Amino acid sequence: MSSLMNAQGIGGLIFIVLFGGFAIAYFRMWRWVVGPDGNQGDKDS
Amino acid sequence: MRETNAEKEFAYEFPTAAGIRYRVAIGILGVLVLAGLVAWINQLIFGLGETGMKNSVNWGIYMTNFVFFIGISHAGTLISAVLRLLNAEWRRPITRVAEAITVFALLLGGFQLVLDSGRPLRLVNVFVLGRLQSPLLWDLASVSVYFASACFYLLLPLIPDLGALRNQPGLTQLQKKTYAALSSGWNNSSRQQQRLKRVIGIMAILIIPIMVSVHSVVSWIFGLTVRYMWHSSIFGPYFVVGAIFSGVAAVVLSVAVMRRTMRLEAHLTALHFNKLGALLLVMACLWFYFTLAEYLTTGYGGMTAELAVLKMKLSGEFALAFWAMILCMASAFVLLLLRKKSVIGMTTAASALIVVGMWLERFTIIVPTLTKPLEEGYNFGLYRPTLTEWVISSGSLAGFALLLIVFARFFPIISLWEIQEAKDPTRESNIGCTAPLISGAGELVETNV
Amino acid sequence: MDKPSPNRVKHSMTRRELVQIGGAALGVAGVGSLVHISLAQRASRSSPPGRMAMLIDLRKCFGCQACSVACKSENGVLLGNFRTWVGQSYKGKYPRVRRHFLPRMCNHCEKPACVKVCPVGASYKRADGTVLIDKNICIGCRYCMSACPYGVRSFAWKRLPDQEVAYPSQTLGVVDKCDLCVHRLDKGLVPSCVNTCPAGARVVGDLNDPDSEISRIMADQPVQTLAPELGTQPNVYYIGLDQDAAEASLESGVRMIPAQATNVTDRLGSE
Repeated sequence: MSSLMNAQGIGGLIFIVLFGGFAIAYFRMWRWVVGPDGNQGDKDS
Repeated sequence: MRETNAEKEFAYEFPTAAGIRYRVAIGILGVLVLAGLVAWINQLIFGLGETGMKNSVNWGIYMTNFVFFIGISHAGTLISAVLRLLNAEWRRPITRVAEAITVFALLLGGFQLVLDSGRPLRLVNVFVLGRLQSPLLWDLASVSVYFASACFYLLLPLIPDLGALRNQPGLTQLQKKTYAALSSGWNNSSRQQQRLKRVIGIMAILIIPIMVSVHSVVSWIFGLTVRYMWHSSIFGPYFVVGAIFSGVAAVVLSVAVMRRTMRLEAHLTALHFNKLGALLLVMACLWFYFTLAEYLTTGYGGMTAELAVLKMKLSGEFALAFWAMILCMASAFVLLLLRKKSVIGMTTAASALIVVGMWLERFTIIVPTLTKPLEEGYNFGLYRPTLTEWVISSGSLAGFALLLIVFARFFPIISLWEIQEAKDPTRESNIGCTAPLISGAGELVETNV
Repeated sequence: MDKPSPNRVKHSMTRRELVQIGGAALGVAGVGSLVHISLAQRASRSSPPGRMAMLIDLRKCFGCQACSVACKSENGVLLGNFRTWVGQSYKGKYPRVRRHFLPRMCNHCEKPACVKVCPVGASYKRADGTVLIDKNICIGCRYCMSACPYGVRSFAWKRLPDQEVAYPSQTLGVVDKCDLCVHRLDKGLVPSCVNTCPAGARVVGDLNDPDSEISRIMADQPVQTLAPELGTQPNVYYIGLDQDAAEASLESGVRMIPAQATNVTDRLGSE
């Protein structure tokens, strides 16, 4: 475990994953709000 | 065209023509930013030796500015998110400026780390080689996530307004294109409105732990070392409280300026300043309590090395900065207590004092611990910021103000649909592609939806 | 919306596949390069295992500063920076007064605070126990300088072209400190300061080796370290360390100029 904490690159990787994850989530939320209306896919939650 | 007095008072002139005050402001701020850039280039060429930093005091006002700006950025979250969750109606005209302040403060705050770096081009290494054990990495991660969240939280509630305004007369071509792009797909249907409210609600909840984590992690950059008077368990909550405190004060200052220069007296009333003043009063109490706890613990406990640092702050080399800070905060406290006499003026004055006081607080946390009480000498002695540092710092502050002013010029600085929503909660917001709330002439034009 | 024609469906499926493959490739490339870089770092940082330490006999040191000078000269340390220096303080009042000399340098701690906080891993502890700085990765954030409680790190604040040519390791904008002269250790030589000390006050060696000179001396003598309560477990040991002088050294500053030695008695008496 300590080698994971200290190793180079792991932190950077986690940073990218975290940031990327949030960015993607926000993008998808945005699409959900202003996405096309109408009958396709009743994504109501 | 029915225009009652109530509707007339609601009118918000947007877009407005660029007046002389706007141009002068942009001019002055632009010059300051330019000067900062020149000083920065000089620093890049000749090294950080252009600053007053030295081998003992290796962090100075750039790190102070960093913590300060990140602190200011907590404004948006508190006002926009927390007040939203508490259903505090008075938040409505100030959410947008608070959200904008958050985004720009984070931008400038993060930039301070670039300014402070000895090898800025190598900053990429943090992404490629970042070590999980380092609090600086946690800081970068949480600030980036907060930045993404803040941008989203600014953009999302902006969409309905942009959708309503995209055909407004008086917009430039670029504005029209931007509005259309950002609000593309928005048609103000009830489904979209429901979804919008849903996501805003989710964001309001989500952004609070992010906000708390950001300034906790910033505090732990210092708190997790073993340096005297840094290694304090109170730093986490202390910094978060201080951040919210300075953030709300920054919002008050911005709102006060906006109110006058953009003639928004009808929207931003004494009521808002009174409520914000009450909020500041609560934060001031918390701040005083944490400060007292910190200094009492250090002073009474009496560990020799810690006492040496404490002495520098209370009666030594940093006494001026420390007591100036206390004076600012105490005066602000009194002004806030007595704010009923002249709500807007006193709350604004208090906020200005608080912002200065909080900058001094960051300074007196960072620098005394790094200083050792030494005689003057080449690499020793007191840290004195150089002209380079002051010019770059003022350039940063000017850059922040510039971004905010330009944003307010080209985007509606008041969240129109939220105000409309409050006025008539039983029917849907009367905004959309075909029903503008305002006209270029500042008169309320009511059309059929 | 009309039922999409079979051709259209196939087209978008293929595009989606392409995007997925592209994304996966990017991911693999990214992870691959990270692994590669990490491995590369490890390779150049390898060394036989050990616990390199230094023992300084304060009964012998008389503050001549020859070690300071030798180190400066050997490593091209920049103006204003010191990798090692001899701090001075005095206790008492004339005629009952004594001067204390305290050679200081990086302690190459077992639990180095500097290594913990470095965001890019430029500060690292080698297998043989030396704590080193990789000047190719250092971003100059100076967090290690803030974290080190002993104040042994310095920074290349100014650009000095002559020295850069002579000593490429002294580049602008990165952190510097004593590295136990690993370029000499790796060749079987002792560090320059150890080599130069006229009194033979400094001894360097591997504490894990019971037959090394340092281990043999430390088996007999009581030794002290600086600020042991901080948890860093320093590997620079002193014989005959005066506690007040030690505290004065840490409290009064990172580098004490001999002409202005700290008066420890005054410091004690003032509270």
